[in-house]
Amino acid sequence: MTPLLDVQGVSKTFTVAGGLFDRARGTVRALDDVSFTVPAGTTVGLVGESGCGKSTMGHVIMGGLSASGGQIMFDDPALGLTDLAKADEATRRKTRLNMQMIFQDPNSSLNPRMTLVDLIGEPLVVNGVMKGQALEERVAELLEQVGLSTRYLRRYPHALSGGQRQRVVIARALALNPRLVVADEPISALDVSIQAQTLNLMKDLQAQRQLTYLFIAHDLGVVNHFTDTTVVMYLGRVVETGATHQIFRVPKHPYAEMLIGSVPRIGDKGTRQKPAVGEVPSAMNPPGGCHFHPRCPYAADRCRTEVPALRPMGDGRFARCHFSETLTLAGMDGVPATRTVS
Amino acid sequence: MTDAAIPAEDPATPRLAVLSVRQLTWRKFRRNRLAYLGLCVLCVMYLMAAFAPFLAPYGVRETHSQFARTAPNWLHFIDENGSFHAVPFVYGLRQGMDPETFLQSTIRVEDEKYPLRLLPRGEPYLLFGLIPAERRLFGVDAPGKIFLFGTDTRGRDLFTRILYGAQVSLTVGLFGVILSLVLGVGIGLATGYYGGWFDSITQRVIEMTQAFPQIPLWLALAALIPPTWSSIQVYFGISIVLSILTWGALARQVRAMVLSLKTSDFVRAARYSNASTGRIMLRHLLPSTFSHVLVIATLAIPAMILGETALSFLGLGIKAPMTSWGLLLNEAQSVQVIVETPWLLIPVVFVVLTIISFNFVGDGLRDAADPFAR
Amino acid sequence: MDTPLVQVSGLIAEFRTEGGRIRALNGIDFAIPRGRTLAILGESGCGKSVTAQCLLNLVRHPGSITQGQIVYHGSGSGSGVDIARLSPSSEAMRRLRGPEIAMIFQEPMTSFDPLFTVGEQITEMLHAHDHKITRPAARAHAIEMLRRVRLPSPELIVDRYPHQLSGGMRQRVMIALALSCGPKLLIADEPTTALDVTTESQILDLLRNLQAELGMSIMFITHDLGVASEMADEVIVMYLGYVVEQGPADQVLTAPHHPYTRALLDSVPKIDAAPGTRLNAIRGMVPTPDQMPPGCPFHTRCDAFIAGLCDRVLPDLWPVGDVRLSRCHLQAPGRAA
Repeated sequence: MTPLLDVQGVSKTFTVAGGLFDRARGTVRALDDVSFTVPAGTTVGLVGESGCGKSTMGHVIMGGLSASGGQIMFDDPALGLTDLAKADEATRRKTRLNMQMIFQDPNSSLNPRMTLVDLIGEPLVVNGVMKGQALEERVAELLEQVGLSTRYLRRYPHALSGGQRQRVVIARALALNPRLVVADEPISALDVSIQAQTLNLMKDLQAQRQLTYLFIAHDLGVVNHFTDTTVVMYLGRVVETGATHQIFRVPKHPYAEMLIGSVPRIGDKGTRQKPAVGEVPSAMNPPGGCHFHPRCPYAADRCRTEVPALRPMGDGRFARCHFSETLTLAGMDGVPATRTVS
Repeated sequence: MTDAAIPAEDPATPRLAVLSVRQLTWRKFRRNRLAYLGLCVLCVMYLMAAFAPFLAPYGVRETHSQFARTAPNWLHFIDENGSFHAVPFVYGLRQGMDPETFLQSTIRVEDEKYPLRLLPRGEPYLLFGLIPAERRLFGVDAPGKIFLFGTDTRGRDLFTRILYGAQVSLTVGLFGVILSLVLGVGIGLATGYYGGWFDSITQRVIEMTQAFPQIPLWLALAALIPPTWSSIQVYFGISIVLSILTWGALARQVRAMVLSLKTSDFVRAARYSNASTGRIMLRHLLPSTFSHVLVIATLAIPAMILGETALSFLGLGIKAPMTSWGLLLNEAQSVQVIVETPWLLIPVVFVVLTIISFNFVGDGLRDAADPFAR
Repeated sequence: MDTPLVQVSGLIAEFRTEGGRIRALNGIDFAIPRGRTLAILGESGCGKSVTAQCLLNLVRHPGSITQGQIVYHGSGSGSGVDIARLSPSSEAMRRLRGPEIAMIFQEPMTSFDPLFTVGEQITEMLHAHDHKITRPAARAHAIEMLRRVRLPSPELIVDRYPHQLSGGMRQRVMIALALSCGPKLLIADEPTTALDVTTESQILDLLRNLQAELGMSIMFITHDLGVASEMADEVIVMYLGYVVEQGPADQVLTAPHHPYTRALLDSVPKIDAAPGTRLNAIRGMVPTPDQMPPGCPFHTRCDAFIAGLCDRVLPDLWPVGDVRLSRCHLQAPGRAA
């Protein structure tokens, strides 16, 4: 079964300009040899902390940023298997009919000067799909599907609450009936009680329309509920992939262990032993070898010089650590790890 | 599916929710009293200019040669004996010797009184340049003269000339700003969005024009206008000169806004929907710059008015038979004038009033432009 | 040890807007115990930030405290000072802010002046409260505070500008700044919301350690149930300007009484829940403060809604057991829970 999206070895480097004539001053490898697959009809979570590159990955897939290397194979219903990384603008425009993005902040992703019907209808108008009366009817349909009253058709975004605005963003993303939806932190800017509603909505829409989600998030609780597989990123590299519940129960990478251990839990009285965390390194000057070694409790000499490869752990899981096979790491249930490093 | 129950539309729900950004801005603007006052003053000024021939008691070129340098001949309700007249009147005037200074001057004749007449017939004119008409708002019967602001050295009624001068002074600024707007916004959008060497070169050009001192450059450019050009051609020439220096500042502002808006989510969303560059610029970027552009334009107009006033004051601007406030002030250049015929400085009041009003309106617009700001 | 550090009673705060007077706080009561942490839990619009502003008497125009008392028992024995009665810019109030009550905020980047070094901002605060302090003494104190918040190489950090530090480090500096005058109460307004989870974990640990070392009280404002659970001894849950539940954190968050708290707990995605389960979302939306529902503020979204009662009568904050309070008709005295 061809996955809907197959990211292979993608890298993205930014040059940092500066100095008197905006000379290149340094480079940031926002993405470094990133590989993962997104099977059709599933939800893949892309998690990591700020600076890990997950948002960059989302924009590289959508074509807002160009990849510096690697391949992004997209199984387009019309064009067949297309490499997005090497696609020209014309091809990109065709693929965008089948993949759309949900943005994080509904306040900044909706033009405050446009009415809802203009906003949601824009993809339809721009791509010449429909206009006029047919367009209005279609937009009204979309509004109902995301649970908004059609009374809001001619209103402006500021007339709606944050949660309602995010529904508009979702409706707009669905206007062209895409197969793949890249959701970049879609609920992070919403109130707690609205997050659940929105997640449920996204789940229902997925079932109705056979959508595939690439769900970019930093909240592990949400990732646990919503995703089937998870890709954990750190400083531009993928450090672990696999089925979500497996990663959370028995992680194979020390960073995943640290992340999971740091999440505050209800019922915790602050007595749980949390992992030592260290400082996040600068993206411009990442540590050599394994990026994570300065903060890793299991680091050995080898980790400082040798970059570990993303190796299969069986069961469809991958981890980028020299010692994944031998380490027993603590998951959500807190099984203590034994340090067995040769 | 719809597990979000939408509350029923409450009749007490504030209608703020339904208003567009433009309407919200207007509401906020109106609450700023100074700005609103400024706007009213400007409306009055522009109406004055539009209806100038109707409001003026005399024609613009009409001279009263015996009454050159006459002080303002006001309307009075109470005469020299203290009795009240329901219809105000002006005193008669005649040339004579001032008993104190022994100089030839115009003296008030208190026996002659000419009551105010409404809508009298006067010199025919074309209202708005199109509609022929004869009646004016007010006047007095001949040989009475109503010089509300006095007369100038050639015996022309200053009040009339100020009204006609408003037509030029108030519109040269507008026209120049529109030119600047079109140039500035267009170039600002393009350089901001595309960047690259086009942007760099344009910025250097703008910097060079900004580095010049404004008035000398205006003077130099104005001097380039051929003296053989007609009054109207000179008018447009001056507009172009004035706008040459202001488009740069506008372009830079617009460019700065575009640079920051370029990476915002809603522009990205439009790109991911396959919107063309043109659509993004016109539909998304341009409207977002409107509020700023409007403010800059509103604040640039007074600069242009001052510029025209300065140029005409120095004799390099508007040419007769057109008249402007600056040209009127041109005749008030010497100390002697100020001492002997100080009423010739009245156009200054109008200039100042107009500029202050524009500034209030511009400030009010700037404050109102972001109606969602706390 | 017996008198709470701060006792708030009947606090009402109102905002004058275009649409009329809106109540941000509807008569709330709570106490901040000495040396312990009280968490205020709620979503946006519930009034938690306004509460913090009230305690510092910094309610932003057009809002103001219209009724109630905020009694601060700083000196231990005395009758305490009512902050609500003091004028916001008075000398008495300024003596409280900093040396007695301090605050840390959500956005460490925008809470600092980008033009001054971190050290300068701390010494400015020290100087404001002790005019006689010498420059070297102030600097030494600043470095000591930075060391206290576990910053590496504090003698170097003291000369850095805010933009040169990471988010986590800035938050630590903010804590150092707040603690530099040795306050008895630290108000933390969502201090970790903008941080990564690993950095959040560090900051929470730091706050707990500092509390143990300095014996200070913390009023911790958050919307994150996990964070409240970790940090708080007592928790109050707010909704639309009312306190709806109160009690020891471990009890309230594991066995809530009020339907809102219960619904919130159910709807939050948790890392230790069974994967793929559907979340029980709270239906409806939070009403805007100018559309306050009659009776119980939560009734429009409540699953245990009793028609005729909940939409007519506002429930009192009734005691349930010895240490807990709940504002719900289901817990009215005399009614079986």
